[in-house]
This record gives sequence, structure tokens and C-alpha cells, in this order.
Amino acid sequence: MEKEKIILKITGQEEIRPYHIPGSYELEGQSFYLELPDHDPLSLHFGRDQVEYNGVKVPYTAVKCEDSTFFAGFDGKLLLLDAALSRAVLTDGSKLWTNFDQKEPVTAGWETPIRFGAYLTLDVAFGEKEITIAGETWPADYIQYSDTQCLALIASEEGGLVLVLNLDRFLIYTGIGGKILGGGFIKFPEEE
Amino acid sequence: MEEKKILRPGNYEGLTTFRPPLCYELTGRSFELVMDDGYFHELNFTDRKTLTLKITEQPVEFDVPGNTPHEIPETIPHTYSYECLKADETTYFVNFEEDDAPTHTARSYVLDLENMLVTAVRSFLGANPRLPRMTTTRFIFGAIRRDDGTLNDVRHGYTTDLAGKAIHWNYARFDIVHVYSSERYFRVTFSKERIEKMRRDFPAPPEGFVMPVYEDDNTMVKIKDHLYLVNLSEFLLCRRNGHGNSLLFVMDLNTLHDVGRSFGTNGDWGDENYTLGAFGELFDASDILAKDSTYYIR
Repeated sequence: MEKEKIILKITGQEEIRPYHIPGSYELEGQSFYLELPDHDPLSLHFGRDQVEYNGVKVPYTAVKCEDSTFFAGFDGKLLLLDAALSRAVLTDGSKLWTNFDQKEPVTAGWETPIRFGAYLTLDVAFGEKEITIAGETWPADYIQYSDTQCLALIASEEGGLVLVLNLDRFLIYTGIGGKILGGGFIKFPEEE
Repeated sequence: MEEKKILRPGNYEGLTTFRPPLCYELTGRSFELVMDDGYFHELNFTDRKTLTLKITEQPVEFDVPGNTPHEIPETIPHTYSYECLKADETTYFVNFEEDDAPTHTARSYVLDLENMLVTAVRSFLGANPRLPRMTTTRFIFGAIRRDDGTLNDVRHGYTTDLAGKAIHWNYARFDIVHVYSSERYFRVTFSKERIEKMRRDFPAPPEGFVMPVYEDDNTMVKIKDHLYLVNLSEFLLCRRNGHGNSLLFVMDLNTLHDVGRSFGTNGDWGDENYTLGAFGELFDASDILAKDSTYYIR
């Protein structure tokens, strides 16, 4: 499958949609001030459908990934936010900024099928600085922000696909270009 | 040769691995549910884990012979530990154990805040003297009082929409195809891969053996377009092994995602009541649908 076609399929721009995850309103009324190394400070105040981002109100959507962790999209940016710790990963699609204490990515060298949507299962192989999906390889940046949670940014010409991996429950969340796409799951390994 | 790296998820009970994170959006909110069985249910979500439920009689509506107006007895709120999952942007599945009930009892609400409608589901053990660990499940429909005091006249209701459809549900450790064979019954089959694995793992059946169609009790409720509440009751399993659970799901046919709970008895004969989640795909079960029912008279 061609590279462009793979991204189109995962992002649902072609016939197959990723699993939609109901949006979360739990950030409503919460404010955060995030200092991310090598990035201007980020002031965020979340309403129900809009977030005030450094003083400017823009629409946002968010899904809940874990008890206090949210994946939000607004203004061409994607934000993985631990609301309890005020720690985050931010991307504009080309680069990642984070104030998490990073751990060694546990995914390097791992290959697994991932179900991105009801009718889309693709083989994914994680490297140290790259990712291979359905046989095609892209450069990728990884941030392992807890023992079992990882974020991967796939730098592509199509806008920077982000995969959030919950390796505790084998769930994934996807986003691109400031938009949350949905979720999916990692195929459970066969019992020995 | 380099060994293949294998990552394994955490250990979660039963069908809970793919359960989404619990939803705390209802914290601090209160709802007056006007139920069609003649009771008000006042639900107050006091914090992320605790709610109070107060059930009181509704006053007599019609002055008809035989009705004696009486003072409505005062009731006290009961406090329970709840879990909430989102079925879609504005529909919430709330589940808790009534730990002050005389038998193991689960109460669930589907709160549809788009239409301000509610479906309450209560499952309990002990109603069947021969099979005391068979679950009994009751549905009550109702409306949620709006801020202006009004109520929606329509209701969630029983439906035939799902009859003839089949969905392959994946719960991480376990996957199964639920075939909604009619508005009253569901059948079970498995994916080709699962059947091949079962054939590999278990010895071949004797020649001439025909695998019976597993079919059991099913209740289907339409919440809104694309969103359905389904209860599967394991009567047949109970007749075989002494316990039958109630599996309650709110399933979204657009997104093929469900949330719900399993209630009844676990593998160690203990009480079970936990929330769950799954991802699905539509499945062609025409061969299963074409078979005659084996266990129930049609």
C-alpha cells in the first residue's frame, strides 16, 4: 500500500473511519499553565467546546485516555495532558515538546497488528527513530511518558499523525493536524 | 535468531481490558427521573465515586374509583459507589451494586441527556427457586426532568431494529459474535480464526456430531438512532451449570463500540458486577441465522 494511502485510511479520509471515541467534557472549567522546554509557556482555560489558548479562544475536542489523562486537539495542535500532574506533550505535527520525565520507550523492536477502525487492521513495527505501518516506514519521535503510556509522532507530509498508546489496556488514540480522529486497539497477543 | 519482542497488557477482570476510563462528568449534578412505574428516582452524583439515590412514590394521577389518596411516605436517600461510562457524547451509562439489597443486585441507568430520557435496569439473583444464581432483569423507562420543569413525552422503547444483525465483539482476551436472531433471542458464533483455533486446541468431535446453535434470551431497547441497549440473559448456561449472568451493553452501531456491565456470578461462584467495553465489526452470520433454533420453540 502506498504511504499516502495508509495515512488516508488511518485518518478516515478514505472510506474507512477510525473507531470514534465519545468526546470528553471533563476539562471544562479547568485551567493550566504549562512550561514546556524550548517552547513558549502555554496558558489554557477549557470551556465546553472552546479553549482559551494564550488569550485566544479556539474550538477544541478531547478524549479521555486514562483516569486523569486527556488527548485534546485545537488550532492545529495536539496536546496529551495529564490534568492531575500538569504535565503534557504538545505537537504542531512536526515536533514534540514535553515536560514529562521521559522513560526509555518500551515499544522499540515491537511488532503488532493494530485495529484502527472496524475494517482496518494494519501491521505496525516500532523502531527507535522510525515506525513501519503496513510495510511502509516513516521517521518517528517517541515519548514514553509513563511505564505503560507512550506517544508516537509520525512525521509525514500529511500533517503529522500522532498515536497515543495505552500499553496497559492495549488501547490506542489517534490524531492529526489538531484533530482527534478516534481510537482503536492493539491485537491481544495469543496465549502461550 | 532474534526473539520476537512481546508486550502484554495488564491483568484485568473478565471483559474489562477494553473498558474506557471512567467518566466523572456527572460529578456534582443531580437528576430527577420520573419513571413509568410510578416512582421518582432522585439521583445525586456527590463525587467521582459516590451517588445518592432516593426513590419516592409519585402522587396518584387520576381520581378513579378504588384509588384512595394517601400521604406519600417520606423516604431516605441511599448512598452507593458508582461507575459511569460514556456511550456517546451525551449518553451516560451508570452502574452500581445495591449493597443494601437483600440479594446481589445491580442497578444501571442509561441517562440520555440529548433527549432527557432514561432507562433504568435492575438485575438481581434469587428470584428463581430452582436456579437461585440465575439473574432476573427488569427494565423501567422514564424521562429526566428538564431545568424548566417539563418532561419529554416520548420514551426509549423495545425495538426490532437489531433483528438479523450480527456483530463480532472484541474484548481483548476474548472475542465473540453476537447474532441478534430476533427481537427476543440472540445466538452465538465465533470468527473463522477463533473457530480454527478452537479446532486446534480441542480434539475433533465424534463423527456425525452437529454443533448445536447456542441461543438465549435477549432484550433490545432503542435509546436513539444508532444507539441501543441490549441485555443478554444466560438462561441456557444456567440450566447447564447453575449460574446465568446478565450482560448489559449500550452499543453504538455507527462507531461499533460498546460499554456496559456483566452481572451475576463469577467462575469461583462469587458475586460479579463490573463494567466493560468492546470494539466491534459487523459480521455476516447468514449461515447461523438460517439454522433452526435448537433450544427454544418458535
